[in-house]
Amino acid sequence: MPGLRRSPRATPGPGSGGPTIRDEVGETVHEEFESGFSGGGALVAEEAVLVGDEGRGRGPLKWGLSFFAWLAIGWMVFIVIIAVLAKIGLVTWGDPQNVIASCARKGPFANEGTAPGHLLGCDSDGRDMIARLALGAWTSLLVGTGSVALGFLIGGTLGLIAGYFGGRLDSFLVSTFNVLLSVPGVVLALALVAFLQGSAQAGTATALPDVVILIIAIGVVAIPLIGRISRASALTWSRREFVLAARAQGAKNGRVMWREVLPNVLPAMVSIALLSVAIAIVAEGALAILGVGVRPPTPSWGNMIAIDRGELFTSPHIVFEPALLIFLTVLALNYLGDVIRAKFDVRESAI
Amino acid sequence: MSDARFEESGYGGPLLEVTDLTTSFSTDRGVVRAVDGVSLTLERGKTLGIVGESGSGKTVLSRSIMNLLPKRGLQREGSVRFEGKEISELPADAMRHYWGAQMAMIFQDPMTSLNPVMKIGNQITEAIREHLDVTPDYAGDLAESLLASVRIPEPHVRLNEYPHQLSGGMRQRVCIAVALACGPKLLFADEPTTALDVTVQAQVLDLIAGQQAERFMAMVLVTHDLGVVAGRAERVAVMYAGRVVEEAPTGVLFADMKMPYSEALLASIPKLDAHSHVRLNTIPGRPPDLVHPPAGCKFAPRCPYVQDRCLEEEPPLRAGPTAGHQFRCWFPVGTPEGQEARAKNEREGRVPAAAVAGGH
Amino acid sequence: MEATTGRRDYELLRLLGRRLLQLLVVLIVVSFFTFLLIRLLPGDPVQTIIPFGQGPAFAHERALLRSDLGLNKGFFAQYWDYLTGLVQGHLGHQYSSGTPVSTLVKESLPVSLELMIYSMILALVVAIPLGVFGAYRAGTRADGAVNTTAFGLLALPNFVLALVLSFFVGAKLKWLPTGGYTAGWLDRAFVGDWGPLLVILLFIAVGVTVGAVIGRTRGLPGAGGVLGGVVGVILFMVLGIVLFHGYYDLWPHMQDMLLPSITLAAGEIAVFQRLLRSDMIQTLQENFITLAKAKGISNTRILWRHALRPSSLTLLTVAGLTAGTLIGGAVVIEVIFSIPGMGQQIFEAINAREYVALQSYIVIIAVGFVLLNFVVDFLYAVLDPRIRRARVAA
Repeated sequence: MPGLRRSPRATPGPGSGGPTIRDEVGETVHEEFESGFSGGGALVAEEAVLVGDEGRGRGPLKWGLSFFAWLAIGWMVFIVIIAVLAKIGLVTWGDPQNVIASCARKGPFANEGTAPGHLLGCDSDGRDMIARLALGAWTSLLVGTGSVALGFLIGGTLGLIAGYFGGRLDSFLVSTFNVLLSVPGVVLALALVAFLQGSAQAGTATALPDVVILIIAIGVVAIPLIGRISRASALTWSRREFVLAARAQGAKNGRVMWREVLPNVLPAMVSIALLSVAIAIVAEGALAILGVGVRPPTPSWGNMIAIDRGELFTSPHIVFEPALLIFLTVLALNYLGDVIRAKFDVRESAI
Repeated sequence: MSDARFEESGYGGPLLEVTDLTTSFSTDRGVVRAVDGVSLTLERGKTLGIVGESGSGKTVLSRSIMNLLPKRGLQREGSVRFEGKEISELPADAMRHYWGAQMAMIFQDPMTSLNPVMKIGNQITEAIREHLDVTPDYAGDLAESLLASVRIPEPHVRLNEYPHQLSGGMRQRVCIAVALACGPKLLFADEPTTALDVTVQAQVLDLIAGQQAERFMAMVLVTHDLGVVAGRAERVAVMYAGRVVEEAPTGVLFADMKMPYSEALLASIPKLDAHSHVRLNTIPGRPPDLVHPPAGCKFAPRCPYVQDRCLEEEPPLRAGPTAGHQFRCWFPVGTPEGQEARAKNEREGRVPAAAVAGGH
Repeated sequence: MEATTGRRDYELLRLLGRRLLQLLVVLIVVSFFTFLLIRLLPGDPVQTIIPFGQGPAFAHERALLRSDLGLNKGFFAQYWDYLTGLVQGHLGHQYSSGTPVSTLVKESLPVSLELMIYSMILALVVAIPLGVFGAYRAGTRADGAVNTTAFGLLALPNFVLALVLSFFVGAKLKWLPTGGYTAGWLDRAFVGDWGPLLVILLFIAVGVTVGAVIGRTRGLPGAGGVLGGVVGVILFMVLGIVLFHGYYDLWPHMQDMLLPSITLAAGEIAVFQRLLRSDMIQTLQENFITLAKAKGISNTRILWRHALRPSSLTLLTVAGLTAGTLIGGAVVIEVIFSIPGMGQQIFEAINAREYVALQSYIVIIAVGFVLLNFVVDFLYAVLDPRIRRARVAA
């Protein structure tokens, strides 16, 4: 999938930066001084700043959240509420499948003019865009969160086990991850969906719903990625004194993993999870454009773009409305992921 | 070529005059005064030793004189005159004519001060080609003879090697060659041997001293080790918390040091004739917080001679008994006041505050 | 010291051996996976792949498919046949037309390669100066603006950008075509027409040589070579348009490829810029940079010669690692811009349920990706040790 590939710094280290140094600064400023300014070398740039990505935005974000973070949270809450309401049908913006032929291809900026009564216009068949976008949000979020959940369930667990136990199990799992990663994500997912849908069409197998097929396909792609990151994180934490102490006291491995390692790995994983959901939503769109997405009539943001791609030059609203929603959602998720990463000092790993 | 190197200055005064140099940085916690009102003078061909613990501001001082510090949050006041010319206000473009050509620097850690992906030869020749109008081939020959002069075996082979192929001592020799490349008049050696094995420390120091004499170069030798400056510097300045607390000709300083901090520094040098199990005298406590320095003498919290006056009033730099000897202390070592102060403290069981808080 | 060099060579050889072994394992696993895909289709694969249609034409298709799959043999014998077939270039047939898949690959693969080469070059050409600038002027307003843009680009899916560009730049402004393809150099070479490829290579070679010779007098042979190569390409384009109108004129090809390349490059630019910036900010704090400054080297030279070099190795790795994204992106972008590359073929194969062709495309992409990573890994290992040792020592 775009972005999430092996990274050279895929080690989300334990929070070595922030709090500990901050607490000691009061006493040791001179030491920081020697290493920071004199011993550590000076910056060439005349007006340059010594802070990297990590330093930026840390200050104001330490306890509170910035305006943009709240904006991002607000957007995600809004989208989730809309999606859920559309799914359970509590609030309807009209039937997403109701065809009004007179409205077809009409909407804001469309060549054929606006569609009265449909704020965002209608698609090429004359179905209301708002209703379809809302239900599409449900599908896209379901695929996004579902596949990441699958990835975490399998990849996260395997990574935790590999990092905690180490040894042969670790090397076996790592090589398995590497083999899985040796096929480009989109292509792997594409192959899985194409053949899974192929077997469904044959009619002999129990036909899985498209959403489930997509969740499986994108989830399988996510497994090695999440597995590697959680392994690296679990590895560093499993070598820490308190974990060793717990093991030395004879605590059961499962208990140590659950009580000592997992809580520490989790913050890093939340950040990765948000970024992964964003990537999965994009992947759904890409697969839809390749013709292996959720099949109509069920709307998803991806297949709305894919189906009416031909109307781009005459009725751009049909394509750009779901595209804008994807963009904003991915932006919000990426931003929140970044905020969490900065808070817990998770190293750049997924971008 | 407008190179300042070739302009005969005709200036008869000292090579380097630093007057009241103050250097501070703004940090999250406040303004850190790393160098506080330092004045120094250095004649051509002479060596000045600057001694102090880590955090005393000695490294910042040498970089501040050379104007090599990062500009962010930096405040510099005071005057730096090189051959009589004020250089403290010069922009980087103008300083570039001095860097390398007029004044050069050797850094503490040879492992990190050479570019790992550049051949050693290029690292020397690029300085030469920046400052001197010579052909690439000539620069190469010059680099080879430089490597030979810092006693690196097989210099023509080394030119085409990368830093990781050399040992630490060899790399420091390369750094020296880099510093010497354009024949500077002033060399800053910032703890040039601290990162090296004890066995090669003396070799490297002697090498620097030899080259210095050969080229009639002035040198500022920065170190935490009084033993290093002992036979090599004409004058020594002892720094503490960004200030010069004692300055004297080397012989005078060792014979008659007045500042308790200098005394403590001297006591902390391991002695060759001492038994190996004898515990080193360490200075209790830590250097003060430079954001909120103590009101009186900066060393007072750690000083065995400390009196109430020291905590309230900072001693000025005053002249000692010998010419050219200056120090900051109310109760100097070796004077009746000092002896009395120490005796009083011992009687009353008064221990420096920092020694209680941080001594371990 | 000579021993160090010798040991390094030995280590490299061992690494090469280990990587080759890994490569072999990965290739076998990947081919087995693609082999399995068709075998796992429920029921008779032949009926699944060609379910409808009667008559002699369809009977012929089915017979061809059956012989391609070799279904009458045992499972592992089938895999062995498949594997040996792959090695010999037997990739099955497109059953609706009877065309061998290898022919289709020969036509479409070079087009995809061209697209990826263009976007990689574009990404590096834009991202490197931006990254260097960001590190040099870190914390300034301009740096902030670049960072924000890069962050936005990261959140912009490439298919969305493709649609935006083809709508505004293509349809509204009418600057560039929004779809279609004119043959270039690599695709012509693949079908035996080596002319354009050889001529463009000649121009680049001459440009690089002349540039390097001129650059050497200024002490910058590398920069001179790169610049000379660029001048060579530009010269080729201009001469192509002016003198060899039609045959050596790659301008229409470039026009067709520009929007897809920009689209593909955009995401890479964001990734590279961010990475290079943070990497170079770290490098700029190294002691050797202060030493270079103390030598009186100019800022420009410190940035490009001293600081960029170490960081460029990181960039190389990441460029290799993002190749997967690039391949996946190219598949989607080709569909949107109607570029007849592998992506387009995959799209058609899915829609026409040409599963054997699809299987072959996937295995080709996977093998190509694995090989690319192999090359990048090894290249990095060759260039790496001095960096790693220096960093470890620090």
